[in-house]
Formats: sequence, structure tokens, C-alpha cells
Amino acid sequence: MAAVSVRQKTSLAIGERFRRDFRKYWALYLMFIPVLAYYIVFCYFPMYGVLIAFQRYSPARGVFGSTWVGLDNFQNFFQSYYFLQITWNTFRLSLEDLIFNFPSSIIFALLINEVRRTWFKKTVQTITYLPYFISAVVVGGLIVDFTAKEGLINNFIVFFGGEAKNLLMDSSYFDAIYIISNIWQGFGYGSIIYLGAISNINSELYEAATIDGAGRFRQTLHVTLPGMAPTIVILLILRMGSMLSVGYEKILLIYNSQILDKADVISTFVYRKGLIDASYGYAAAVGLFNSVINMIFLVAANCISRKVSETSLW
Amino acid sequence: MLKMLYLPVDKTLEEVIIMAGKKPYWRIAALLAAVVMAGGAMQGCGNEEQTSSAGNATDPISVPSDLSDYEALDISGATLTYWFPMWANEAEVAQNVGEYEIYKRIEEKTGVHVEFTSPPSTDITQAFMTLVASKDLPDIIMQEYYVEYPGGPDKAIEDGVYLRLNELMEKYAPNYLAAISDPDVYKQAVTDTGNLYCFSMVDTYAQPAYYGPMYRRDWLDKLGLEVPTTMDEVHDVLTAFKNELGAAAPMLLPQNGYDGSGYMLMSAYGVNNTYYNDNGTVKFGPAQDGWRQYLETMAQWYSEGLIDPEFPTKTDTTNDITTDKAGMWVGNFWSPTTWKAQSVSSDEFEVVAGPYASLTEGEKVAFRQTNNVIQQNHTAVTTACETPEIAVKWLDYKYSEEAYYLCNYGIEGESYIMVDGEPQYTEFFTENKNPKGFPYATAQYYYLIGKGPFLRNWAREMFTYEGQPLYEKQSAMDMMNTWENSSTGEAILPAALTQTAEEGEALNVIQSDVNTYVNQQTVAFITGQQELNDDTWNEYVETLNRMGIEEAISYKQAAFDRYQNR
Repeated sequence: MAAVSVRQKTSLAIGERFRRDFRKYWALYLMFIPVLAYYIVFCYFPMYGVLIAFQRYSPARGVFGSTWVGLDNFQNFFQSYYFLQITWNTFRLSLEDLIFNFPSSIIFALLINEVRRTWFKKTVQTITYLPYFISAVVVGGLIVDFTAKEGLINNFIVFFGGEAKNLLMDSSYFDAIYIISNIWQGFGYGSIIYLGAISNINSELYEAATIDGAGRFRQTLHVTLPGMAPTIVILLILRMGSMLSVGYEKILLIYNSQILDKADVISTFVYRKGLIDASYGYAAAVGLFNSVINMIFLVAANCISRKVSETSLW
Repeated sequence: MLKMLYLPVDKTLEEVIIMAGKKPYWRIAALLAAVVMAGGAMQGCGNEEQTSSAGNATDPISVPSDLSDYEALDISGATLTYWFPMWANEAEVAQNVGEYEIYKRIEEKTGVHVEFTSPPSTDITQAFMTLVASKDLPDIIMQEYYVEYPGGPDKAIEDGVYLRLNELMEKYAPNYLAAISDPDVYKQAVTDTGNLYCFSMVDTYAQPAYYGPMYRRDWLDKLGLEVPTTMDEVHDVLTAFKNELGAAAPMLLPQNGYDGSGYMLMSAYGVNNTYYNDNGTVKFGPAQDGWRQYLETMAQWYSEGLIDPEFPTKTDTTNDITTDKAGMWVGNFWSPTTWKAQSVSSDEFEVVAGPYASLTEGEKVAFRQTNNVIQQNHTAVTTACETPEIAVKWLDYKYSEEAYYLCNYGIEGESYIMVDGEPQYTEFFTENKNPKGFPYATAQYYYLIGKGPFLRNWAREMFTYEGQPLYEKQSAMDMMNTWENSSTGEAILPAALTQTAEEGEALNVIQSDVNTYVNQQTVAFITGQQELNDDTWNEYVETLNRMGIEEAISYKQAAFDRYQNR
């Protein structure tokens, strides 16, 4: 409808077009204002703060009064003993999260879609959403307790004849602990959007598939999955945009010196720099570096997707 | 009220305090004045300074003899704004500091009305940073002890946030200047460039170490063992805890493999986990051979099962103490009461403070938890204050003799009585018989000054430990003295060192990598994740050098040199 009306008036100047459009859809524009305000106030306006990445920042002198130091902060970071380690850890954990955690919601959505009993479906959904709403502090505490030498997991290991040891003291287990707890916390909540996409698939397609003799599994493979594909691709692209943003809250709560070689990531490093050592400029520089890499990933993923699947953000 | 403060040249402050029987400064002053005058050796205050190094940044300010300005300034009727962080336990007492009875009493005495604002107790550091960054400063700001202006107080003055108070104090703060007049104390109170920028909490005399190693007394008794004093004895005791009592974690080691507050056990090898003073030269403990010896010992003990096997993951070890897993740990003298209450063997649970262990019998180690006369709670007057002289005179009031009793003991006849010239709390505090029914822990904020700039007698709260079963065999005072007397504390760098902004910045860049690396390696060496031999040790030291530890040490040395020249 909107597209049609615009096409008819292409001969008009932009200002005129906007005025007419506004008159017609003023309610939609009104609803858009809070969103616009949100992005201006919370996303664009604070961006001038990025300047402190190039400064020896002093809170009392503010952004415009502090000394400029050029790229010193970046140089310090790239020369830091931990630069390679934390960058690799961040990338590795993120990649593992993408491989194991990202598909978990899709698979769960497909499975729950096949359940026909509503009460069962609703119960399972509610139970699986819940962990998402547990605070990171509580999750961190749970993980530390469960992995302790006398914790739940070790009780199982001992029961099956293994030897108990604190799992958070061996860095080779860290990735598994991090990813599994991520999946546990996120798969139910993440499935909501896929279930939405599934419910939008035209039911005639299923009827046609049934007539063609497709069973439940074939229907899932050839109707449901292709129907969800655009949603999956969009979410994947967005996910790529946070490739180097590993959630620091949980890591901060469960890591220790013994497993730092695997567990220390960029965001925990920024936390220590910025909030513990109060090197605001340095922390901002690291954060900016992180954002730039994320941006590159996002653009690259979008580019590839546009070429390969015709679905893209822009 | 203001007696002349003369320190005899041949006496150290410690001796003076002993002479004066640990009395507040004006009594010391009175006593000394008498002594000095009797000897006919009239010495000006500050003469002591001549014996210290020559290059003082500025001459220290002496207690003014002319009080005409001070007396002429009428502060009653004035209003001040005061930024004063509250802790969570204070928030239980009142919504606002202004509601505290003590500040109402001070308002009555001084006639100055103070409007307090407090940030949320959860993030005081951030609130402080935001406050000094804003253009909307209060008249007075109290820095919590862990909060520091980035770049140090001199930078705060340079940035136009805090006021230099030297001139104002000379006129309007005779009580405070008297309280900090001892040269060693004065050094802690000024910045490197000689600026006086704050009123600090000042103790009438320094508190002995309140933190150190402790053992389960009931376990030692059960095994017929003495409190260990040497490393070998500690080892034997822990082995007995493990083998004969089945302790799962005989000794608790803090999370990063060292005790960064009292430097327990590492001090036997002459190092601490940070920078220290080796006869005027600053050194970094974890790069010294002593640290290697400490690590070797800890790794050995760990492999023998004498140290909590899960120590790197423990942010809180209370559980191990209360479930009879551990028999030795490091802690403060007041916590055992809580542990005893929570302990699974509450009836038997007893602790005993043990000396900081040394290699040979009778040797005193050079590190321990130390306390200064100048305490935390540095309170500065800001550039936004329109009447700084009033702020200074008002803050100074809390260092007067009258305020000493008011802030430490309350009102005579109500909350304390004088017994043999000594104030003693009545049941107002001892039995919680105050109008609010507060126990002393909270009443000290409400009826007395619990924190903030004032002249404090820290020993005022010691009564709370008297008569408790835990402190029957060894009083809280004895615990402190055990820790204090097993160490000289001479290798500890002064707490009041300040780095310039440039130094601080460069130090920060080096230090956080170094800290991370030291923590990581210490744990790895102790748990045996990495073997400790010549190769790995050399590589470790080499890495510290590559990270720039020598540069960092030079900054600390510079700060220390400046401090000594204050």
C-alpha cells in the first residue's frame, strides 16, 4: 500500500512527498519518535565520548579539556603482553558460541513446533525461558558451586567412578563450561523469534507437501526450514556484528588466575583497565578497537549474505 | 585548649606517646611543655625538621601562635554543602547523614548548618568520579579511603577542583595543625609539593596491626601443640591438622596465592607482593629471589595437601572456616565472633592469633599490616565553596578538645563518665540503652562520629570485645600486639605516596599487565600447573622485565624520594 502510493508520486519533490506521507501516516511517525529519540540520546549523542580514546583523560577536565595523546592508547594496547591472548580468547569463545549456541535455538524451535499438545508446549517453553531472566551474578554463583570439587557435577563424576576435581581450576574445561551455560541460559528465549517466523509460514505449503507424500521430517526440512531462512540469516548477520563482544559479566564472575590464559577476554580486560585502574582513555581505546572489528565482521557478513542468499540488512 | 606543641629532640614519637600514656595530643602537649620548660630548653615547633633531609618542598606550617583571625571569624548561621558517602550499614541508621544525632550536636555547638548529600553506597568510586567531573561541586567532599582523585591531590588542585588550604589552615585550623604537627605525621598529611589539601581522620596514636595469621586454638590444644612461630613449626602444625584431624584445607590461601594485606609467610623470605622499601631503595617483591623461595615453599605445601586445593576459585573462604575444614588463615581480630556463631562446632570454636612466621626463632619479619596516624576519609574543600574560611573553621572544630569527647564518647553523664580522668562508656553504649536502641556498631555512626574527618581514639571501641568468650584467653588487644610485635613493618612503603599524573598513567599501563601476570604465574607455580625451576623462573623474571617493571619501580622510587623530602 505504502509502496504503491510512493511510486505514484515520484515526480514530486522529496519535501512534498514527505509532507504528504506524513499527513497520511502521521500516527506511524508519532510512534516512531520514541525510537528515534532513543537512538539519538543513547547511541549517537554519547559517541563524542569516543574522543577520550585519544586522550589522557581526566574526569575533572572533561572530554574537551583533557590532554590529547594521539594513538598512544592504541599503541599501548597493541604492545600489551596480553593483546594476542585476549583477542584470541574473545574470538575463539565467540566462534564456539556461534557454532554451538546459535543453532540451539533453531533446533529447539523446530522441535517445539512439532509438539501438538498445547499444555506441554507452553510448560516446556516457560521452563526454558526462565534461565534467561536469572541475573548474571546468580548464574556465576551457580556455576562456581556446581563445578566445585564437592559440587553437583563432580558428584556425578564420582558416582560413575571418576575422580573429583574443581573444574574451574583447569583451563581446558573453561570453554565447555562457558558455552554450555550460555546454551542453557539462552536457547529457550532465543527460540521465540524463530517460532514467530514459523507461525508465519503459509499452512497451504504444508498441505501441498502432505499431498505430495512428505512426512513430518520432510516437511520440516523442505517447508519449515526454508520458511525460517530469512530470519535465520538476519539474526546470523546481527550475531556477526557482536563477534568480538563476549559477555563479560559471567566471565568476570567465574574466572580466576589459574584459568586466565583461556578465560580472559577483551571486555574483562577493559573492565579491569577502565573501572579498576581508572585508565579511562586506554579502556575507551580498547573498546573502540573492539567496535571497529565488530563493524568489519558485520559488513562482511552482510556482503556475503547479499551475494549468496539475497537476504541482507541493507 | 591550644597548648604549644614541643617535641623533645631526643625522643621519638613512640617514646613520647609512651611517656604520655597514650593520651590525646593536647595532653602530650601539656606534659611535654612542662618537661621542656622545666629544662629551660625552649624549642620552636618544627625544629625537629632540621634533622631530616634538607630539600623540603615548602616549609611546614606550624601551629599559629596568633589566633586573632581564628577567633574573629564568626561562623554561626552559615550553611555548607557536604558530599559524604554512606555505607550500606549506615543507610540502615538514617536516610541522610544530616539526621545523625552527632551532626545535630555539632550544629548546635558551631551554629553552622550543613546539608549532606550521599551517593548510593554501591558505587562510591564512580559517583566520586562523576562528581568531580561535573561543574556542580559541593563545598566539601569526603573521599572514601579507597577513592583517589586520578593523578593525585596536587592534580586536583591544578585542575581547579580542590583548594590549597595551607594559608586558610594557618589562620583558621589551629586544632588540625596541632593534631598533625609531628613531623612524621605532617609528611603524611601534605602532598609532594607541600600542599595541604584536606582534613583527614587523625588517630590519637597509630593502631597496632589488626590483621594477621590465626589458628584454631581448640585444634592446637587437642593436639598439644604450641602456636607456631617459625616456618618449620607452621609446616608441622598444618601437617598435624591434616593427618590427625583430617582437615581438608589445613591452611587457607587467598585467591591469588598470596596475602596482600599482611604479607603472611612471604615476609619470612623478606618480600611482599608489591613494592617495598629496602633501606631506601624501592624493590618489587614478586621479582625477587625471596618470592621464588616463597613459591617453592607454597608449592611444596600445596603438593602435601596442606593448602586448600581449591584456593584459586575461592572469593570467600568463610565456609571453610565454619565447616572445620581449615585450621589456619589470615584475618582480622573482629571476625572470629561471626565465624564462631556460624561454625558447625560452635561450642569448641576458638582462635588464637599467631605471630607472622619467620625462618628462624625470634627473628622479626619486616612486613605486616600497618596503620598510620593519618587515616582515610580525606576531606577537601572545593573551589565551588564561597566561604572556604568558614568550611575550614567548621571542619577544624572536630579536632578540638571539646569535639574529641563529643565525637568519640558523646555527652558526659549520658553516654560516658570520667573514671580516673579517663572517659568510660555508660550502658548507653555498652547495653544499647540509647533512645534508638542501636547496638554500638551502628550507634557509633549515629551518636558518635564513625567515619569522616575528626580526631579519633580508635581504642574507644575495644570494650565491645571485653568479656566475650572468644577473647578470654587472648584479648583483642593481645591479638593485635602479637601481630604488631612479630614484625618491624619497616619495609612497608608509606601509604601517602603520590604519583604525578604522567607517572600514574605510565605506571597504570605497566602495572595492570604485571599484576595479571604475577597473579597468574603465582597460582600456576603453587598449584604445580607450571613447574618451578631455573628455566621457568628466569623466563618469569624476564617477562616482568619486558613488561617494564624496572620503569615502574623507577616511578615508585621517585614518589618515595619525594615523600622523604616533604
